[in-house]
Amino acid sequence: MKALHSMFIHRYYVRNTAFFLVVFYLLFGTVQGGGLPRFHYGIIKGFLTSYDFLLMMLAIWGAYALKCVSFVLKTMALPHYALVYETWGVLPLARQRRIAAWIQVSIYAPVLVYNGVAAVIALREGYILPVIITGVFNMVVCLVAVLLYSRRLLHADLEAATPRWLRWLNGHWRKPSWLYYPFELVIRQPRMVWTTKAASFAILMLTFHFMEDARFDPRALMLGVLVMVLLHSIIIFRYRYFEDLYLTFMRNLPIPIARRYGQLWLTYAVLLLPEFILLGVHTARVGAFLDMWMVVSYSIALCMLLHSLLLYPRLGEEGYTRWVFGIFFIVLFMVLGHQTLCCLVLLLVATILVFVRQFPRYEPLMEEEIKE
Amino acid sequence: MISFNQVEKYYGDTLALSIPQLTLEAGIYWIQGENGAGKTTCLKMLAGLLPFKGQVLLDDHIDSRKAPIAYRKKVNYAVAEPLYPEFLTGHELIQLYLDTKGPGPYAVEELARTLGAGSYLQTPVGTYSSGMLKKLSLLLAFLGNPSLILLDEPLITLDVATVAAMYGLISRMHATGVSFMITTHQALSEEGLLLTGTLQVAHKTMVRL
Repeated sequence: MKALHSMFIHRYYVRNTAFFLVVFYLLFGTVQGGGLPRFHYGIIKGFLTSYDFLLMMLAIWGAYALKCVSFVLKTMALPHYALVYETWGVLPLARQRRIAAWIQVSIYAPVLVYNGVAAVIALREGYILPVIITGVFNMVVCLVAVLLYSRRLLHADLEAATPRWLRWLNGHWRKPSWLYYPFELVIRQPRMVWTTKAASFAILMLTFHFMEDARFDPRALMLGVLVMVLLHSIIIFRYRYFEDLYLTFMRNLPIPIARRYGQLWLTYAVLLLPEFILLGVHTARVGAFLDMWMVVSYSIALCMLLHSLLLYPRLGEEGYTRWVFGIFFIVLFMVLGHQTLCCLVLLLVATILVFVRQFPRYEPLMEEEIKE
Repeated sequence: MISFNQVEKYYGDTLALSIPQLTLEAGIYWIQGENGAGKTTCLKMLAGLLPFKGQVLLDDHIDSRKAPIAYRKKVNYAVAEPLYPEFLTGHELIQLYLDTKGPGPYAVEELARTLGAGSYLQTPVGTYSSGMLKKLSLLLAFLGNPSLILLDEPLITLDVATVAAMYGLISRMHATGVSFMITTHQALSEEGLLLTGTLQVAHKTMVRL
């Protein structure tokens, strides 16, 4: 049972540490110590006395329940967790369900504890119907979850780890090699990609906000774009690990270096496409089409340069960070000094030279080094 | 078929492998050596996955460094423990190989059927067992029109029937002029393969026994 605890309960809380920190801060960090009991009493009283508020509360708890169920089912679908079918899955049905209930109650505990406190208050103050509703709701949620887990145990489906949309896509479309990394990010590292995109969008919106009050200056736009690329530097760094771990076979394929370069260019164009759409909408408003073109070329060329630098042997995170900031400041000063075009040409030349020189010399990191 | 000339592979400042001079005629070669001796390093160099000093010539005229595209078209490689992006299907990988290596004498369906891989190629590789992944990597290595196929530990995780089918494929392809370099800790000659020679990787070099 200890192993199941580690696989489901412990792993759930570890993986959602950031989520719980945010929730904890919102519920307990935004109100001063003395007012905290009154704050929560207010919330509980709110949903005990207003059915609209109660409905909203149930919706939030329902969303959290979905998160819990989805986590457990996804874990059960991972190939390296397939042992649950040979262990948990071979127990008598009653014991299987008891374990399922224990897992569900453990990860759904934050809601159950809050509901328990609300029940004590409700019983004291005579709000019987709302407390019955919340009690029944949470009981049904846990029962449904237990049934779903038992059903999955009986009908193992490792393919369920693949999202439905991807399964559909696999049947209808063949992914070109320059989309491998964007797919990897969306499917396997969604948190990293959405966090980066949120920060990147925030920076661009802030740039547009400041530019609204002043005359359109492409240099200000370029500064925003530079920060945007800077935010993507971790994604670029991770690309090397992805290539070294999963795409080493690509180096054995007879693909000319110019095509490899072009494919990489397309990869970064796709990765930055959401930002380009946002930029396009805003630059079109002021008719700055030439600036938009420059911004697109800059962003991709910068990403390509950072990527190409990673082809130098054993360039670790520290060395890479130094390069990222060095390039950032050089480009920044050139842009501020109205040397935009010259800077772009330099970036392109540097990218091509480094990529063409280093690609054949590159030595992929060993699997053990990547895992470290 | 393949010749090594002053080949040296360093990891940092440490010499991992040095092959001053070695020429091998077409055939099936079994590469022997202890764990960590450098067998996989040697195969990765030959597959164009690792940079090295010196010259490797295929079919007397294709230099691995001067003509990497032509060279890679002629050298296929199946790694010991294959890893592919989990969201790709077997079919997508096969198509990628066919697009780059070009079509070969064997139909994909035939190879898939022979290796027992036909039933799962439309699903993402993330759902494959290690044996299924191994079969896929072998299937990919048999695609195109290679002169040399490098097989790193091809026997691990394969069932008995697939091993026999793979030996049959190797023999058939060898009869059409394809050479093989195979690393394995099992005795290949006892398994029904007619070996041309045995290579020993030890003391940071590779020699023909």
